[in-house]
Amino acid sequence: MRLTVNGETREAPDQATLADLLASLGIDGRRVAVERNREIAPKSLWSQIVLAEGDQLEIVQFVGGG
Amino acid sequence: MERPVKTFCIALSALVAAACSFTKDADPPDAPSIVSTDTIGVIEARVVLPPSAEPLEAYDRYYALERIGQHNLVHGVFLLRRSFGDVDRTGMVSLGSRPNVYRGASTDLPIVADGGCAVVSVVFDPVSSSFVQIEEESGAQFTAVCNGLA
Repeated sequence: MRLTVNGETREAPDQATLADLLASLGIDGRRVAVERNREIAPKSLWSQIVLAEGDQLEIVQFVGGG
Repeated sequence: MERPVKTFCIALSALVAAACSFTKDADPPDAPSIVSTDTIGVIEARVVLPPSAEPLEAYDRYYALERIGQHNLVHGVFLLRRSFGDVDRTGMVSLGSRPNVYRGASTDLPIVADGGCAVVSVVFDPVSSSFVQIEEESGAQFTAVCNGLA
């Protein structure tokens, strides 16, 4: 399926979860927030959120502090 | 005399066009660029520090907005004063009404590696008025997280 991640088109396997996507992008999830289709996705649900064709994702890593 | 006036009009038109093209891509006029005093008050009233952290008043607190898609999240970085009292605060402005609180652009937030609970981070969504979980251990119970240790 096709997703948009930080404005760029990406391919992901069907049934991929948000946690799967972050892992495939090499993002370990520490100090990271994700907006999915204009809603903040709670970190506790990343492994349960199954992505869908056309999802719009914004990922930001909070680097200040550490 | 006609030529200078014409040149001026062309220059003025170009200036107006440039200004219009700039505002078209900029944030809407009501988009905040700094964290509001009220929001800082809400965060500091509700934040629950990890058990290993010291009381909030022992920290210098730095706040900035971080853009993520449609959201402007507040990123707070708390530095234990006795350990990081001499940190570079360039670009951060002291909030006169609240001691030891600074705000500015996200690019000016202090960056400190490691430090354990001498460095605490918090992320807050002003729209939903809720803390954003950024680590496994943060969330409902503790709304802020300590740095790691080297």
